[in-house]
Amino acid sequence: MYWEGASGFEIMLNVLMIGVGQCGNRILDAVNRQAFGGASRLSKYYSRQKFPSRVETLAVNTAINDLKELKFTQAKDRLHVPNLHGVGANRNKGKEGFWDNRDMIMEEIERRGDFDIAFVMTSVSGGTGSSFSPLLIHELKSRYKNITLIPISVLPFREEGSIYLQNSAFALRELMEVEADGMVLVDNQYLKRCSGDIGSAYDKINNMLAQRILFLIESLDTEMLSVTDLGDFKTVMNGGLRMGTLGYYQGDKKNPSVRAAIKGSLKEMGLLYPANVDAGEAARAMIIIQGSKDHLDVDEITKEIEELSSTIGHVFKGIVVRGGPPKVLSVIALEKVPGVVDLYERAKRAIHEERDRRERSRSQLNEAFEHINDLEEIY
Amino acid sequence: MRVVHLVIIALLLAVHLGEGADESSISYEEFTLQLGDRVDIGSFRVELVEVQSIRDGLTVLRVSQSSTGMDEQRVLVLDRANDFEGGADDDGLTITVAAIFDDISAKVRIEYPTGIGTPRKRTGDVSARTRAAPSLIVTKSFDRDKLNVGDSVKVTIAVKNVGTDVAENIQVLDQPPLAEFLYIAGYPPKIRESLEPGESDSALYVMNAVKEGIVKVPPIEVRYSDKKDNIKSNQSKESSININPARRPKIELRMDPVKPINYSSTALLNVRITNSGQASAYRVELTSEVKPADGLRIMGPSIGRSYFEIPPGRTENFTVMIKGEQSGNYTVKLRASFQGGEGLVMEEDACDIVVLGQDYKYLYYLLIIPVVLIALWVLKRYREYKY
Repeated sequence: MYWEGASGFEIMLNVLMIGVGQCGNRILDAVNRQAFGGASRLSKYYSRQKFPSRVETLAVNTAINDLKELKFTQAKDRLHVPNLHGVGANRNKGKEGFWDNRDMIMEEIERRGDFDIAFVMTSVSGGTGSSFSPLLIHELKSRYKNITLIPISVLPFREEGSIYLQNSAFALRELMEVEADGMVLVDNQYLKRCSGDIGSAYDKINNMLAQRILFLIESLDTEMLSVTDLGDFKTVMNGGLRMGTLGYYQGDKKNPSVRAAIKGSLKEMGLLYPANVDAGEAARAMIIIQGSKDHLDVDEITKEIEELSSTIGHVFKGIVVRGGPPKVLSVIALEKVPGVVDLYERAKRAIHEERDRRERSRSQLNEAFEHINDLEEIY
Repeated sequence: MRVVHLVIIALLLAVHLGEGADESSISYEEFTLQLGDRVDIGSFRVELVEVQSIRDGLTVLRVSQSSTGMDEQRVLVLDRANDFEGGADDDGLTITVAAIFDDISAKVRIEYPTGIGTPRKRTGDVSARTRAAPSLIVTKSFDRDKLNVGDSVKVTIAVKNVGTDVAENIQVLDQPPLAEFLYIAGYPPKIRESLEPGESDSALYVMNAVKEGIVKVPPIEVRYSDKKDNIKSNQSKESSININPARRPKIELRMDPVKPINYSSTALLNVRITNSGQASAYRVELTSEVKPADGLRIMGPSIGRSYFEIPPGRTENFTVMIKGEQSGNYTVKLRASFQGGEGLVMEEDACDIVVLGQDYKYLYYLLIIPVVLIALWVLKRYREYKY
């Protein structure tokens, strides 16, 4: 894909970022905010977004109030699916809504041009996101033949309720069944530790995710000392379970070691989904290192990558020379997802409990109805 | 008894005749006579008619003798004996004017033969005794008694004959010109040479005060003579006149302050010239100067103008239009020269005028434009992000 850049015709990635549902919308808004530099709430009035590539964003939701909450996403990039006021966590209703509005939604996307890669950001537990996203990915894949589709799936807090758990289970399965090129997992339950209260935890998680996505896009579209590209990314994401996550670590002046930064990006603290890389839970990885030349010792990096390769299997590395201490983004394809398995077990239990509860309620109600079986109304 | 009587008469006559023959001596008497007074001796009568000239010692006496019909009026010189009818030695009279007291009285010595009788003085008519004589009174008056140096004063010399006869050879003797005055016209005063009784004449002259102070004006003297060339004189009263310092004009120039003038705009500059002094200012010439010379132009009418006279208390106003052609601070200097009594006097005034810089109004728009652009930009962004 060719795109006219500042220095003439350059190869630039055309990126589509779609946030579906409330969670996806908020992640998208965080990405847009980060693109402004993320400094001020008023930055949208005096600054402009600095995406490393041509990035088109679109927030899709059935609840208009969720769209209104967005601050850094342009109005033209907010798509309300009409005649709906949310789907009430009902994926069936959501799917109906998507099919009813599929053409309108796809027309809105196609109006934005052609794309090399699309990130579909959604929570798998909600109604709109979990129901729209698999169908949307399917539609995108059918319309954009060469597109790389990466769903970014946010797993819920486990205590959020049985419907969210069952939605997560079915949505994850559907997302894995469509022709996506891997999936990035983000586990809210795991990341909740970042902040005490849930409200600020959401914001922090969204900002962490936005920062890593923009880092990834920039890295895929930048001349590197050691090159990684979209193909490498695609290869990594197709490894293992085709489920992956993102790790990030930023060194500082006190600890400017690039090797420490690489290690830090792979530790559980730096990941969006809990994975024990040292224990062989990673199938493939792509390590993107950014920093000043002083901090980027290629030999050290190579040694560290070689060590990782002995554990992970295959590791792509990309080095971007920029000012400052080393920053490392790791893209990991997972071989084991115990957290997901646990979620499915919980979901299974939740579904059973829900079914039992409903049956008990129905039988109680039926028993109640039986009291008047032989009776008629008297007026 | 008649015989007795005849004897006695005869004796007396004989005695008398005998005594006459024996007493052919001369007697004399001195009489102080006034005009009209007469002395009768026997058949002689001597009357003082006139004192013709005291200075020359001339008197006029009239001598008559009833018995002979002699009647003679003669001018007698003082202390010189005059014989009438042969004189006292020849049964006549010898008369000598011994002294002349004044115009109407004289001492007359009459020598006569002792036998002709006893002289008897008879007082004449009083009116006849009053001799007609001129009497002049003279006055010197000023039309003002207080004046300033440079003021003119009119001096009136008036002479009136309050006597009963014509005054002749009238001369007015004014003092030599006073140093405090400059005599302009009419000096020395001219008075008619003769004035009939009751007539008066006056003369007027004008002088300018040239020196301040209290001037004692000496009396003026008038000299005249009567018909007998008797010279008389009289003089006026002494007076004084106060000469204050000279009145001077005082020209005050004033230009009303002018608000700052916008570039290339005009404004009115009001100029007032007031004579706040006590005297008129003459030949007032106004000139102006603008500093710096370029940038502020006097459109008109010209400030340069002249007034022949500006009386005390009078104010002359005029207005000129000025135009600011270049921004800056300017000073308009106004200068007036005039005759101020002691030569040319200069007065000056100055007025500061500010010409503002060129008002590029569109600069305000330039200031607004960024604000508008920012507002539009913010609005655009707001609308872009408003959902």
